[in-house]
Amino acid sequence: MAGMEHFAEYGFFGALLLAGVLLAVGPVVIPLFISPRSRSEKSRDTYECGMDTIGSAWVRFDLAFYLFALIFVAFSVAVLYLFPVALVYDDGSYLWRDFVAVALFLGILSLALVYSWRRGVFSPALRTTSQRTHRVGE
Amino acid sequence: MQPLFDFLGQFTGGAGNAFVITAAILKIALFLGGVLTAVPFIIVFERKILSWIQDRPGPNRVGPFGLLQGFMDGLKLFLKEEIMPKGVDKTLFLLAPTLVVIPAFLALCIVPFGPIIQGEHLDALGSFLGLDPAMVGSGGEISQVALAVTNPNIGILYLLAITSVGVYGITLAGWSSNNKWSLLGGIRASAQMISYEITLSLAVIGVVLLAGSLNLYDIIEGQRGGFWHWNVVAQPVAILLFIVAMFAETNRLPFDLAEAESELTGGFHTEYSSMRFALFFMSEYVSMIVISAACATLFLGGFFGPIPLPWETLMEQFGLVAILAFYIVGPLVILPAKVSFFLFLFIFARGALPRLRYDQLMTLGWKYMLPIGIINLVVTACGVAIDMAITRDGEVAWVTKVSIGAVTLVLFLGWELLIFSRRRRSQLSREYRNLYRKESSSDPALAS
Repeated sequence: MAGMEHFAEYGFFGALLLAGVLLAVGPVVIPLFISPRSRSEKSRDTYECGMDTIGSAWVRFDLAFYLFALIFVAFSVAVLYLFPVALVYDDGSYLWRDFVAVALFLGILSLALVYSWRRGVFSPALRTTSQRTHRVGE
Repeated sequence: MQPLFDFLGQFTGGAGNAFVITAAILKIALFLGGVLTAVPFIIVFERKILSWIQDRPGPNRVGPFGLLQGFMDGLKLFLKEEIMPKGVDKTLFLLAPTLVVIPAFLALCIVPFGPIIQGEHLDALGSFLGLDPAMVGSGGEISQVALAVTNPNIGILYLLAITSVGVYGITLAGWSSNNKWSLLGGIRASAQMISYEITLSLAVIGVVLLAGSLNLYDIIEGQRGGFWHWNVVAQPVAILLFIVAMFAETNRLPFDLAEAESELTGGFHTEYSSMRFALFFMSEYVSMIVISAACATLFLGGFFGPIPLPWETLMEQFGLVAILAFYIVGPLVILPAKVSFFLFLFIFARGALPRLRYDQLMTLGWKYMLPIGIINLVVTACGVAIDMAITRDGEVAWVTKVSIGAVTLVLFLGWELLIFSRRRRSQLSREYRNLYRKESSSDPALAS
């Protein structure tokens, strides 16, 4: 029975997921029936403040964003490891060992931060218009 | 009410199951309904407060004091044309708003809005509702009813996980639109949200360390007994980090680089119109409510009031009325008050602060907040270890909490003072100045 109760806890997620899907899909579907339609080609243009669109937006973008994503993955996984540590921290028998472990772990984590800091990941290269190597749309 | 559940029980395999399912549907409906009704009002209040800050009347035409403006705006958006621009990735374009809204709602269900009803209180309330004590009661089949939609053990971890799913929606919305503004908004949003998520987690781990549990009810239980027991006393630096990170996570000013009207028109939602746009707008407010409620739960005692009332004696004197009041005050007065405080903070910051530059945002996130978060965690871990070594009772004493709070606060303020006293123009702004000087001297139009 206890197992069933545990299962029921997660069953509520399903119920709420259903409610969420309804609330997300409903507002998208309803305007299809009641909102006006204009058939003008111009209204389907990409909105760029009145200018005619030049090229696609699917171009290369700055590598700096990719670096952030990489560091995030490293840090995020490391921080995730801290959650179980925080849960068993006050077990009582190996207190100082626990603290030293946490401090060492965070210290090594900080080294990664220091490394990327020194490599200049957090201060992305500054470019002005004249230095830009490629134009959007090319 | 027992006959009703007996009747429903024929379809669900027992009256107890019928009660559980009915309670769940009621909780979901009331909570979701309450939050969704609150959103239009929050929008009106936001516009009102901003207009007071900017010395203008603000919306005042629809309903008394313009209160119904939010509803009318929603209605208007239903009647607007849905535009699917040329050249978009259709599947992702349609999927993106859904991917933003659903996690916002899923994160809602974790927030405990009232205490767990059990023991004598459950007996009293059960007999008040005419329920069979064998079904609902301290000795019955259902011995506790939590005033939260769900109460899983992973609690806060689930909240962190589900809120980060929203990043996908915003990034995909920006990419699939095939618009330069949208693309910039989308990638900025993803970089910003993942950067601040780490600080958010570090701030939360401090609280988990003090509570020894991820379950939100356990975290609130550790803060019972007045405002001086709240986690904000033990983790004053963590709550500051959490507040800054929650502005960045919800893309609100001063961190709204994903939208940034003045530079990116609408950012990731430039190409969205009608209700598809409204979904982004709504989910932003829903996530504001969720993360405010999470902050109140983690740091400000959740549904517990600032001053503990003598509920025991009140219940002895007034019986059922006091019990009902005890379970109604938390969800209807105290938690909404705390959430409103944070919502006001969101709105006030929007009126008071300018938007950060992109590199400033990254500098703040990685070079300031992350190191502060790590140091805060080390100090907290040290404090808890010292406490455990002395008392060995598995609980962190109040004195330890205050000392941890004092040490972290002193370290934090000292570090800030050090920075401010040695403040020079940053390396970055010097580089910028040199760049523009070079450019203006080579460009005749700028040089004149």
